[in-house]
Amino acid sequence: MPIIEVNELVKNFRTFRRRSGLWGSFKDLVNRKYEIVRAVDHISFSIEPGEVVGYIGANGAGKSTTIKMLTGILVPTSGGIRVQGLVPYKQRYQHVKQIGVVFGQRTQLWWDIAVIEALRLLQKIYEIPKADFEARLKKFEEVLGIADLLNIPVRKLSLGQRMRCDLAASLLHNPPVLFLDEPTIGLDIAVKSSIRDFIKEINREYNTTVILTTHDLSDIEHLCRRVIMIDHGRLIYDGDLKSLKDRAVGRRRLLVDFILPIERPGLEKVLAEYPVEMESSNPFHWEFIFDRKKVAAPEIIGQLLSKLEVRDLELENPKIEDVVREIYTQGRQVKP
Amino acid sequence: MQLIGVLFIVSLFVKVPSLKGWHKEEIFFIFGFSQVSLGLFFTFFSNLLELSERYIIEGNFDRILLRPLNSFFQVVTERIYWEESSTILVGLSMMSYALSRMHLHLNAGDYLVTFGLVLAACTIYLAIFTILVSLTFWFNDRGSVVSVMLMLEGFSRYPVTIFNRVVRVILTFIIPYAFTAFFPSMYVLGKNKYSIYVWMTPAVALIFLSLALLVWRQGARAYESTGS
Amino acid sequence: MNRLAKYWAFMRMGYLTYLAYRFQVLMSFVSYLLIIALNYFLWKAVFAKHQVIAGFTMEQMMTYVVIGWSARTFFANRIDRMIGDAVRDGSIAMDLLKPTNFQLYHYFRAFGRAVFMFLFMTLPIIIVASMIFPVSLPSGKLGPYLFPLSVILSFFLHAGISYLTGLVAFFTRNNEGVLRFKQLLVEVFSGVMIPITFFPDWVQKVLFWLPFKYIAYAPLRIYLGMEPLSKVHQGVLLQIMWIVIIYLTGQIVWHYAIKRLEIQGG
Ligand SMILES: Nc1ncnc2c1ncn2[C@@H]1O[C@H](COP(=O)(O)OP(=O)(O)O)[C@@H](O)[C@H]1O
Ligand SMILES: [Mg+2]
Repeated sequence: MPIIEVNELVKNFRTFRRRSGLWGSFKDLVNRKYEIVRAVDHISFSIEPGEVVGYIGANGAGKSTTIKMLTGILVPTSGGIRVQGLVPYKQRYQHVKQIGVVFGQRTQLWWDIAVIEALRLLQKIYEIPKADFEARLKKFEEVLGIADLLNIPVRKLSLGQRMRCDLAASLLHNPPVLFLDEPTIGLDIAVKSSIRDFIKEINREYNTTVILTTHDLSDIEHLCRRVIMIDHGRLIYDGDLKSLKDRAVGRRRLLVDFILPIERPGLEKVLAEYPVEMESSNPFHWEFIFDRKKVAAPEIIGQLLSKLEVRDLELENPKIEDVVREIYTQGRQVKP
Repeated sequence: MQLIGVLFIVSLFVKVPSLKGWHKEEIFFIFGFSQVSLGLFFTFFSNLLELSERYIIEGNFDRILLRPLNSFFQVVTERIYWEESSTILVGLSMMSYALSRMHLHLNAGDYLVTFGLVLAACTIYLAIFTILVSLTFWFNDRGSVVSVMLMLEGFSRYPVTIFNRVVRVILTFIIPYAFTAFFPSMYVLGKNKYSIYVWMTPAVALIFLSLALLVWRQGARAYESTGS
Repeated sequence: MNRLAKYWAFMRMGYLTYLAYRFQVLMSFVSYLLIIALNYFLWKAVFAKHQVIAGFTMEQMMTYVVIGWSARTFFANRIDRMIGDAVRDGSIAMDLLKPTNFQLYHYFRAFGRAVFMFLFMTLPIIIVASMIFPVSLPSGKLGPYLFPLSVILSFFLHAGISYLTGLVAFFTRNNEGVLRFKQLLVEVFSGVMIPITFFPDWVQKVLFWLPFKYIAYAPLRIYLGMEPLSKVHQGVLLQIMWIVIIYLTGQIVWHYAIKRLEIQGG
């Protein structure tokens, strides 16, 4: 039985468009022009207990809006959501007792009080038994390294410190589902990796279902087997990470520096038998783009090395950024 | 800034002995009553007035909605403003000044009833301000309804008989400011003509508070959070 | 020319800022009408048994209330709060980087707001209020001409007082108390709340030596034609004198204020 079910979910925002100039702003005052922005557009998916799902998409794709609806902050314009059998915005109390939420952009803790006080307050709010609270706190202190931070007011923490405390706070009541919206935004590599390890461990130990939005795709590669990709509010991919890469990143890019300048007709002659596109910013540097299902990189490299003098070459690995761009530019739905 | 209103009434009564049949002491008592109940509201529930700025525009209402507690309760209690309690003191001194000048002596029961009426009046302020402040859920414009509330509050400080009929009806049944000072004061001032209104005060408080919670609930559903 | 363009830009910014606050403008509009209505009923009750109180007739009093509160929307400013906030959140550093006279920057920004308020608050309030309540036109020979000038001077006078109050933030972090005290002084002694002839004589004597009554009371007397010609001129001249005194004080205090800022390290 899925733990999260989302069905034809839609969210519209009404925003008003500012007109420019003095006269325009005067008109705004008297008569506003509203625009409907559809941030989430008929999205459906379901998630099984224990999955770690990456919810990805470019900036403004609608990731946060989806998370806010899943956590009960926003009321959907239409469509259905069930998380552990509950409708988030309708059965808010029961729902939020069983989820953990972290927004990378904004702390869920109280700004002016020390971390430990905030955690104690949460213990009361979520009615966590004292023994459980102590045990989890101890564990989080170890794994997240927050022991030294507990007596500092939240506003004095650095972003990385705050993020770790937020993560601990969101898991105190041992929720079966954890929502993370951009949990690693703005963090350095060390903190990022400690957070990733922590999420992995929580998932392994408690079988916690995790939904994670990010636009840092290395998070996804470290944590998720399944990826849901959205763009302009629409679902464009739902499936496992590896086949997404294989499917969409057939294209690779070979960067070559030549010792002598060479023009396009010369290169076309050399590579006449291979299906390759080429681009260049100057005659010493050329980039070859090819589909790896049609031609293997060693073949092209071998041909170039045998016919021309090459100073340096580099084969770019497929990145998920390219996947997004690829699917984005093709503008078509990729069925898993 | 409640002091401004007090200075106004004091200056006025330097030159004017009475106001449409109400003399200075009675006016001061009503005024003091309104300051005490308003001061209680400000001290304990002022955080409500931050709804637009701190919670809606800055998006902190997200955090409120993620906790398994009533959102209204959370916002109202998140901070206590002890500095506002000066208003209560000003109100109390006006009331006691009036009482001593009128040589009215209250027994313990009277004090208890008055205290209950003050709580009811404070609840009415809470209800009215909640309804007004909930409007910002829909108009998610930066901007405050605080100024309107404070201006409106001016109507609660004077005997409703100085207003014309339309305003009196509004203040009694629609925006029940008449119940935040004038009617409950009639208990101590002993105007039996109004005793039915005195006893209606708690009922009005409960009715309007329920209404306010309803409006709040609808408003919270319209909350749109902030774009990231 | 360039310098003028700069201050014109500040004005424009002040004006535009408030266009974003539609709901707030509407709410303030309603508040002002409410307070005028409250005053109307109150004064009506007060004048029920009297012809003249503290030198005012009922008609004069109603006009005083409507014009006074409407004018208040024009000469009010938030300079003191803005400076305080900028010092506290550190954005004052950005202001200091601007190659401008800090004081004039604030005056002009506030003036832009005042222009906005004049168009969207002062005028609408006067129009609506004079349809509901009895308001008379400016009287006397000079009232119609000198009143607008006098109110513009009120703006600069009040701006100066707010600016000085705002500078206090450079010396004490928490300037809330000072802000409130200044607000109290202005509200009570400018004459908007109640004409200062209602105060005891000794208070009136003290007020003669202070700038506050030139913010509202003096211009309103001009509007009502309650002053002889010579007094009218004197009033306007005193307004100008206070503006100059306060401006220069502002310049001097500023000199010390930025030194304080460097010591505190922002
Ligand atoms: N509270 C809001 N009001 C108006 N528009 C919003 C609001 N929140 C988000 N949006 C708009 O909805 C779209 C999706 O935003 P969001 O879900 O935050 O994207 P993401 O998290 O993927 O970057 C954007 O165009 C954004 O501007
Ligand atoms: Mg986002």
